[in-house]
Amino acid sequence: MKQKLLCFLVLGLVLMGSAYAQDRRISGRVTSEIDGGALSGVSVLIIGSGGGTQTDENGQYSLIVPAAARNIQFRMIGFVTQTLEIDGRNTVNVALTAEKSELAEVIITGYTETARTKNVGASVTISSDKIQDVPMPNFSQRLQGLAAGVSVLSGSGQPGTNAVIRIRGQNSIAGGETPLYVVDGVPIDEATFSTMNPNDFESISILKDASTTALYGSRGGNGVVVIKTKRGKAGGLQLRYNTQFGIDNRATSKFDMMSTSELLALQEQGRAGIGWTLSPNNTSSSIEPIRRAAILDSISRINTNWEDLFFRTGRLQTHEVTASGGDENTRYFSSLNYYDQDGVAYRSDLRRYTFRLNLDHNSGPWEFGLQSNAGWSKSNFIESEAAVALANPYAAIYLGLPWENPFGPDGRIITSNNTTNGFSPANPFNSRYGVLADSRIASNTLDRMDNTTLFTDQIKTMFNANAAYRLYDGLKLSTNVGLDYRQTTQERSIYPGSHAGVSVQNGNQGSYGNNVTRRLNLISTTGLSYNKVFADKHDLSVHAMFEAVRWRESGFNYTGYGINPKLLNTPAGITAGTNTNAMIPGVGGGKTEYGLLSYFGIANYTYDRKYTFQGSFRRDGSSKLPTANRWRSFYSLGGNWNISEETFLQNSPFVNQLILRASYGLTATAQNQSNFGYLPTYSNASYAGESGIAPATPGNPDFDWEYTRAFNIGLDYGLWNNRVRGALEFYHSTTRNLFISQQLSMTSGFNSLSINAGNMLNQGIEFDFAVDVLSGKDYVWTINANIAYNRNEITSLGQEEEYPQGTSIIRVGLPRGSHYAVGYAGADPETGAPLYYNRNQETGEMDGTTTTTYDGNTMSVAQWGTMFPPTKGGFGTSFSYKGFSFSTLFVFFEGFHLFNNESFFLASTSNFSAYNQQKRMANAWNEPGQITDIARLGSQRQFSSFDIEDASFIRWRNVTVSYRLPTDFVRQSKFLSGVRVYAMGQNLMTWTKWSGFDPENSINIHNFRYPAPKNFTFGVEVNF
Amino acid sequence: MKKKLNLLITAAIMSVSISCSDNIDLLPSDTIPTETAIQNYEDFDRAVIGVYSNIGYNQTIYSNTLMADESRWAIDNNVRNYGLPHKWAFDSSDGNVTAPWGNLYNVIDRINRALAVYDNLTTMGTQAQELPRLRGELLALRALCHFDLLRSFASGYENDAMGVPLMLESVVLGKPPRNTFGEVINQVKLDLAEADQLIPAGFGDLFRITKPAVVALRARVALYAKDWDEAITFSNQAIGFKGQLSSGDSYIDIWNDSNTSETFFQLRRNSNGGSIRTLWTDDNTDVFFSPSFKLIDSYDGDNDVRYNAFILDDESVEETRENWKVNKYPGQNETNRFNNIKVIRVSEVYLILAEAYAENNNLADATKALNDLRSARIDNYSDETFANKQDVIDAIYLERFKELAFEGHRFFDLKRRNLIVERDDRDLAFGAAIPKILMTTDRNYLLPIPSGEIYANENIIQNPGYVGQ
Repeated sequence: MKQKLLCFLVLGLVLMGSAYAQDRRISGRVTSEIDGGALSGVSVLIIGSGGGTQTDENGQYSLIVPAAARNIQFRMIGFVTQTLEIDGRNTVNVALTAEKSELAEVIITGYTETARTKNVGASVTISSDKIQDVPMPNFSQRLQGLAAGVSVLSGSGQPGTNAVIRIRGQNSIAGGETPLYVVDGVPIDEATFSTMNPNDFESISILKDASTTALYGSRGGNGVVVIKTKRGKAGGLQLRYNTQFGIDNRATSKFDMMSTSELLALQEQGRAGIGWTLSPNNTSSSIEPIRRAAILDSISRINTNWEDLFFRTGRLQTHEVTASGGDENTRYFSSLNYYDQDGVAYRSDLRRYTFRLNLDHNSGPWEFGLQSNAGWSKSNFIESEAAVALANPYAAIYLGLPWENPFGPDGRIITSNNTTNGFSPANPFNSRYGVLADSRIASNTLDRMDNTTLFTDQIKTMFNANAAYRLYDGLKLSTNVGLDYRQTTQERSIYPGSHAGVSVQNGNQGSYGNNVTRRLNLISTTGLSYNKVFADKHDLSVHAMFEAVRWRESGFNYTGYGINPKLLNTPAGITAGTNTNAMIPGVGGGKTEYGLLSYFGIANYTYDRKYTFQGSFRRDGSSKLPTANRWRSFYSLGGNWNISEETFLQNSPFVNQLILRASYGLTATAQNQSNFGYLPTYSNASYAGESGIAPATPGNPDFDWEYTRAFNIGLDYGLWNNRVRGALEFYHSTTRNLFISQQLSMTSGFNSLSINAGNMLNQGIEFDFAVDVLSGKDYVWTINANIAYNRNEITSLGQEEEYPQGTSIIRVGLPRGSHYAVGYAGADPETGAPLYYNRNQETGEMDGTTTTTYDGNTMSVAQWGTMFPPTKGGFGTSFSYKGFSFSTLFVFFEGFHLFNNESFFLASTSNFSAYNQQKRMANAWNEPGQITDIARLGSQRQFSSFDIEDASFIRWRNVTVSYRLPTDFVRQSKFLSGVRVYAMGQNLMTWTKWSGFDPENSINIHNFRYPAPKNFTFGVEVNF
Repeated sequence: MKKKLNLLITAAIMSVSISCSDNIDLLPSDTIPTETAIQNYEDFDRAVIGVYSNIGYNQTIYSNTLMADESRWAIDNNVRNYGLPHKWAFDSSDGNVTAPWGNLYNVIDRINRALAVYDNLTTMGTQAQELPRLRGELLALRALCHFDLLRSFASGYENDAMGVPLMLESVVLGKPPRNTFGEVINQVKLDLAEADQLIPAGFGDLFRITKPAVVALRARVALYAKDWDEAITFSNQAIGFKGQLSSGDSYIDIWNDSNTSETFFQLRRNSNGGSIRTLWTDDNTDVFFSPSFKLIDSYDGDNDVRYNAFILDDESVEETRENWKVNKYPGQNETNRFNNIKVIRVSEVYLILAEAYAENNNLADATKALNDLRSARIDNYSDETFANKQDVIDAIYLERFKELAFEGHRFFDLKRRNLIVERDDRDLAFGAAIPKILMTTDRNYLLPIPSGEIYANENIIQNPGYVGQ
């Protein structure tokens, strides 16, 4: 409904006073400025009356205009909306220019829509054509590289996983850093992104500065992502079918793992593991030499390729039908989408069905709107993703021994279970004198993949209803009620009789777990808005709103044991628990909620199209704060100088647009804070079957928000007939009251207390640029780029100077995410012991001397950079000629380091006896005098700078080639109006020094995450 | 038109008024604000249950078995499990050895919070008579926790050695310094003495602290404090409560939890409480730690019931995998693989009695207590006699090694007499670089105060060898 309301504000720009005269007929023709061709389906609206029509296939229109009307407006998706004064004419012809998203005409904030010329803040709007049809089910992933200052890093290549979005750096240490997401005025949570169809989105606006985010008050501190869904256009039914097929391939891993003979030799050298147990040189072995030789000979012939066993070529197909249309009074947009993707790892897939219906109706002074969306998705994911756990196939393929042959003679996977442990049917190849010479690392995992499930079933519905009434000239009352509901059911089965099933502690016969989460979010927004231009010079827009949000979540989960092997994946297979069988099901769950009340107002005033001033104020009351702090105020101030309207530039041959903007304001980050974090509480506990209580939280009576004050100065430019265009931004923001997890003496009964103590600074520069290198009647070649640099610094931590957190540290003067580890100095040439740099306790830096004694507490230094890329951006080019178009996008993230926990295990002087190792381990120190980076086998592997690597990367993100069949040719078929065929490639190539899987990772410590696959698709879009 | 407008305005006003301040004056549904958490007898009883629920005695058992000579790095141990404690290569950030610190202080805090409201509780009927018993349980548990902290983290077991902070009330922002070993022992004794007074003899729930358990704990504390007379008094008193030693199958039944005749106090472990067995043998049959050959060889395999009760030679596994398994926690039956944790048993009290007599140079009574225990455990046992005090004490130590293996005693016992940890050569064969001897001067001979505590509390002095602040 917001959108509805806001559209009207835009129209209000040109709304003039009324005059009495005769109704009359106006007609005309609408063409495209690019090729002069007729544009059909353009909405022609009479400003102020709600009436309108659409152009026919020759671009012609004709309509009766009331006498009072002074302006008519021409709108079409993909073109810049134009509003023209009728000025007594009977014929109004117009040529529409294609919209260039870098210069989107309207800034959408969710509460307001402001013309670019009156905008004071910094935001980026990504139009649907940029994200349309990208074969990723989750819109967050599609945003990468498209907006300056918006970091989008996909955490995982598993189908449907969210990307992590951070706007203008890190704003918090212990609080949340995720932006607020708002769809059609309703805040939504990240967990449901994969159950929404991004092709339904008309635009995604990313609000970056305080003048836009302060409208969201206590929830705007991390930036806001505002999504507007597609709406119907007046005109006949437009039916579209779009389908896409594709494949996913694994991006090649960089790990170079040892073969059987190499690993056996390594283990023999290190005197541990099977290679040593079976070695002829092992005089202390209890196994007969001849027997050792026999086993060694047998396993030497095996070289299992684990990657082939765990991975496949992924597959993708989508089908989508959209129908839209309507008349001047009622318009509809409807879509049905089916998305089906199998990931590159076995057992990782996503199926999704979504349905959307958007309705708009206007009659006289009334406007009504309804946006509704229903989605269902079902996915099956791998287990223990991003964990150093053998259940994680991405860990197992590397850690698995090359001489494990997973299959027995009967084709069944042989696991490490022996016959005494209820493994059923008993494994005949598993006896004391059997054939296994390994610990079945990857075989167990392979068996686990077949015998466990991790299904997530998600239902999401969103309804949003809105109404508005024009009370008086320029004054409008509007109300909006939104509901967002989701239900997520996670089902987790472990089948009995399998390796994993036997490993279930409760009963050793598998388990079935079910976890249902329901979340309901209600929002209502009501208010008045007033838009009017006085004396042609004073353009005023004022809003006053009241808003209430209520958010509820409840969850219930249970896990049952003793599964009947013929009743898998259902609670019906659970054995009843008794006092003695240890199969008493685990049951849990909980409820929580929060409420928010807000009053806010916004005023925007422009004088003579040149000078704009804007102010906003919001007062938020939140249940998350203690009563004393409950109500908090937020504000913003901003101004804009439209230099291109000044007389000295009005006739400039090359400057078309030049707007200087500045804004300042206060926001906070409330949406991710715990619901009752301020309150000291007890919670339920139990012992020996009796119910008890125990302290749960220490509470903090001074609990408050993290407040961010942000200043932004920006410049929009359009030169040489807008062939060169873009924006430049500079910002400086300080966050105070940072949540800090103050470490407590454990004698208090707690480890830490969340307090508001620290300050943080983010400042940066963002540059957005596009140039039409060639531009002609039916062709255009564009190059575009954006780059952003953010400097983050922790400026205060209250009474402390630093908080070490494992391999990272939070320290005053350093950016957030700084690594903290002991410096590694290679192997001692004489003894082969690992050498570490001593720390100068005065300076806190390495002093150049080395020692063999490792102490993480006294030797760690923070000289290894940060995990958050300070520089990032995207660049690309597009070319179109008649029906043919080509575009490509590269993204880059520069200047950050990550901790490679994979190499901690894969190049380990203390793990080589148990797991396969990288080939470089052959360089392990072996004789005095040897200079090498890898210490003596058997020395203790420690966390050190050895594993911290530069993860900067450039990725060839996307290539799209599309061809629209000539209209004349298509029309011959009678029922078709357009056909487009297209092909896309994603993640085609990556340039990086990073030695692990995938440098694109949203977390500090790399732990065998599912890397982003390469992906190729082919699609056809048919319009009827 | 006017009608529609009125409707809209009404709807707008309603949506405003419905959602007024009720919308933000919320209280949690899943937790209880501390102010109202403990008000009456039932609440207090629940708070006592909450104390029991978090006692993680398994951590004490783990550090003892990993550090000492009773366990061996097993063939199947793929490094990830408890490597550094076993290799004596940990620093103050190793959670495997420092976990008891946080856990036990959390339990003590729960106790102190409950005790703080003890005088303000409302009761009905006969509830008032039950309250002292609950108070007694809390005091005994506070003593048990302080004592275990002391055993783990004291810089020595002499009165002037650095002990641990005594926490007698709940303080969120406190930074207490360490008390001396002697100060902590005194408070532990006071708490136990009061508990002894408060808990009636008729209360017999073995999953909770009973009067016999308090007496047995007093004997244990006296042993560590080297108060031999007290140790004799309390041991005899405890044996008076529960003197019967089990033999043969009934001894085996102690370990599947069907016989509790020797148990003073046990912590309930069931499907929601975690399994202690998995330290040594994982549920997927991987063996992380095996009984040491040093321990295996100490038993008379034919006659000693403890051999089969504690040690399993699993012949069903392949030769390249581990066949020696710890059998002390075999589960209650085929499907219930959980065992209750026996915190203190009668046989320990017999050995305390023997050691205290020996230290008082009463070799006859010392030998009798030792022989009483052995004859219950060993078939065809004939009483042994000893020439001098040291021989008896050596025999008692060996008997403690054999009887109390995997129950959290061995490392502390060695520390009590400042003895080195020495492993057999055969126990070093698997796993990379397992060391043989831990000298009493090696830094890992003392467990470190966790680095997190040192960081947060500048009044704590770290144990020697580790870095303080």
